[in-house]
Amino acid sequence: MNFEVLTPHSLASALDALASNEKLVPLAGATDLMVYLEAGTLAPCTFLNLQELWELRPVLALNGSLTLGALTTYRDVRLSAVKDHFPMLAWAAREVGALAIQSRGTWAGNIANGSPAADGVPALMAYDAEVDLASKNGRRSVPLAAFYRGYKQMDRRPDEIITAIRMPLPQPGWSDYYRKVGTRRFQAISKTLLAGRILLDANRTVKDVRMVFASVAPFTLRAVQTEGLLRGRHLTADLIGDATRAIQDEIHPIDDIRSTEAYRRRVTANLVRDFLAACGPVC
Amino acid sequence: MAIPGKQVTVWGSMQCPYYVQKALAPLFGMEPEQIRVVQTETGGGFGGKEEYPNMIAGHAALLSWKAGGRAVKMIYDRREDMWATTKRHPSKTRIKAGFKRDGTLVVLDIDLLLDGGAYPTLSSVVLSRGTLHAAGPYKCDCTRVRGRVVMTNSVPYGAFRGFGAPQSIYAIEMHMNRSAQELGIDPAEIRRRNFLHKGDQMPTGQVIKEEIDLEMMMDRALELSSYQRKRSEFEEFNKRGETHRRGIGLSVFFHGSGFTGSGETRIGSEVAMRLTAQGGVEVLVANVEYGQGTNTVLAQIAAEACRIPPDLVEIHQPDTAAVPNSGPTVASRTTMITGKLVERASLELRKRLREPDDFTTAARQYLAEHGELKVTVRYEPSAEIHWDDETYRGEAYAAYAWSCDVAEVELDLIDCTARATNFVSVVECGRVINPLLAACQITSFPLRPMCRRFRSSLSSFRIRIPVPIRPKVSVRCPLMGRRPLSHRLWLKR
Amino acid sequence: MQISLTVNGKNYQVTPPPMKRLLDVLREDLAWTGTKEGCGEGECGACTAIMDGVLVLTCMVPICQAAGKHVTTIEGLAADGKLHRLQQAFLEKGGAQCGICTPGMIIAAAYYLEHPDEAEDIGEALAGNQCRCTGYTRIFESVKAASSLYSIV
Repeated sequence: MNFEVLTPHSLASALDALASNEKLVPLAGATDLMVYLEAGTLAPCTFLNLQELWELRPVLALNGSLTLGALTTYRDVRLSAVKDHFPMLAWAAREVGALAIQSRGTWAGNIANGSPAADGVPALMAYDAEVDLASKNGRRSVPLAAFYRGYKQMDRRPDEIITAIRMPLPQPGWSDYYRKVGTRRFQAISKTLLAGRILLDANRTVKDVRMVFASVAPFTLRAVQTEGLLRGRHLTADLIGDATRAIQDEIHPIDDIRSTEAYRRRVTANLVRDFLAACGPVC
Repeated sequence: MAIPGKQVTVWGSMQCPYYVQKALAPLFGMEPEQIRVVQTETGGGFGGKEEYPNMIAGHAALLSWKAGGRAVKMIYDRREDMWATTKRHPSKTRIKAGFKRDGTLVVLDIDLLLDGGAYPTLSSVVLSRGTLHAAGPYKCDCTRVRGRVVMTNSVPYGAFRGFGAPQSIYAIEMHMNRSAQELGIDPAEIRRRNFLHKGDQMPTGQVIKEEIDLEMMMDRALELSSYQRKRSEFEEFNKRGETHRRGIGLSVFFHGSGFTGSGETRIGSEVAMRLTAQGGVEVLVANVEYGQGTNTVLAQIAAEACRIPPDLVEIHQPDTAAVPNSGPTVASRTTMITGKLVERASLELRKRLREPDDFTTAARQYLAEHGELKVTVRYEPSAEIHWDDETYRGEAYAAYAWSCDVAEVELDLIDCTARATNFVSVVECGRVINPLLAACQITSFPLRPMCRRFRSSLSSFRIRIPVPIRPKVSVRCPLMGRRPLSHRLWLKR
Repeated sequence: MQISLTVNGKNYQVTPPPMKRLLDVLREDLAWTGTKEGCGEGECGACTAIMDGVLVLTCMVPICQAAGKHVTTIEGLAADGKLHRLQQAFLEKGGAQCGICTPGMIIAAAYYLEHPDEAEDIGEALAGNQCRCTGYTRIFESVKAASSLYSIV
């Protein structure tokens, strides 16, 4: 095995290392990288072990917004009180593998791995999360919804690492919906997934909505057009029907080892209907 | 480890050490005795380690040969395992059945087709068992079964729990359900009208000689599962149901124990036992433990027959250099065939010790005087069981296990998946040697289809196994047919 | 790379390649072979162990991230020559058949008995551990039996 590991003990030295060697591969919970390594699909490289970086330590800071330190695991979120404000984070965390994966896998790693089937990213995206990136040359933030550009293509330069994930505190009145469809209830990778949030007014008019899908496009997909169709409209059975049709033009599911395009299209439409029919308060 | 010209030794995870020996002898141009095969901790079996270990053993041994006798270890990773090792044969079955208006079965025409993959493996034998189980536990005086296995460009298929029978049983049971629907009869009732009984003939001409009360078994399963009540409840539920549908269904089937036809005669299994210095016995068999309880059950049989505590029974590691060929660990034959031979060997030991009241003392005395006592017994075919491989007529299996299963499922119309919510199994499995192990086997067998077909591997469905209704002694000798490779066989009456 | 770690209460110094799996270090370097390898890709749970108080899959932990950690494997459960109550329950209730999943299954169950709030039920607690023999029902019964023993003690 031709793999080396660098374990820096401060963010500054980690960023120095990244600046001088762009081939370094950041290593957090290792739950994805160890699979690639074992499958023999990783070229020999040097890993940058982030586990000793105090600056990235698991923190869940709640003050007007929520900040997750880059090493925050799914388990950290499940055990914290933030799930009272961000219930979907806890639901999503529960859907990642099973307990032994949740205690190692990190939210930032889920983002940086860039899998279109990520379970955590859709929930973060539905909460309008921003990704904090740092390099030797400075820091910047990118909205998660604008982070992906293609399959495993993202707005992260090789000399940058994710230092934190931030989300605004949700306003009262939103309803959350999260449903993952996999081969099994746990320990499965999704065939399709919807993380949805909706804000209805007393007349059942859609004031605002977020719909984020996994496994039906080359990357985690926020369905902006379908959201636009719904926004400002009275939520009726007809509108729900329109949304299930509109989503078909936005997703690009494929046949692969886990499922088929046809199944994904049909079930994705069902999830949209289930979300819109069940989420809003009936009036 | 292969030492050129001298000896080949293989250690590995396997069900049939003597199969590996038989495969490696011609590969190395050596006598079988020069090939030593030792079974190590095996993990699960389920048929996947029946004949495929011959390949891995062969490859590892050839590599070692090439390396001048250095030890070579070979482990498939998960991907390689998926590509190379054997899986269950996919199948397509067409059934035409003729019923009287009251649901009595009068004619059955079955066409069973197995996908054999690109390699012969055990396809012909899997086909044989699939064919012999195709007509289900029903009486029908005019039955034709056509069984074929075809070569395709797919991965290898081979032995896998049930060995071809689950495929054809699934087909006949689905056909009974559809026939019931056509005739407007309850699925349980159409089965009841056609069950086999003592004295009835199966398609091979085999006459059932033992009492079997499938009606009672089915009634018990229906009662335990509240079948009738649930059927009407679910019908109501489904009428008003929005995102879920519920269903309950049943199947009734038999499974032949041991090799088909004259297989045991051909193998001629041998079992040896010897006295130990502790005053107990050591059992020498080639049958392996892979979690199903071989060692426990054989130790129980030996202890009971010798009249000693089980702690004084040792089971030798399956090693072709030390144990005789008691046959492969397949086809539900170990307890029935090897177990019976262990009983015979134990009784023989007792006879040689002159039926002692205190076996342990007598054994120690014998060893002090004579140094060793080892007995070997050999399978003897039963005179009353006949099987003809050419015509496929006769006693296909000497003993059958019978079962009625009721399963409840819930369909989710949103994600289009099914979930098993309850499962009841009533099994007539003959005389049970170890109730806990038998129950373990029965609770585990519904898992396979459930994991494969249904979404949740960990939903907690209930399984009830009543104590065998009427214990039967079924330790008798079956005959059988490992048929020469043939892709077509007919059963006609 | 010199790494020190504690396994079942014993301290070790090892110098493996830094990305070597904790699983392989346990089995090959330290001869703790109770922990099994099933899939090698984080799906089956056969290699489950407890590391610094949390449940981990040892096939997914590079040894460089186990430096200074305390690892408990199946061998660490029995004490004073007496089986752990879960081991006893698996034995009595038929929770084990071929045995490959059993060490990981018992470790995950032991974690659940210690942290009952971290999973909704036994099903979720053991969802990461696949068994191909038992059909799970007897495993669940074993864990239930052990947990009732636990509450009495």
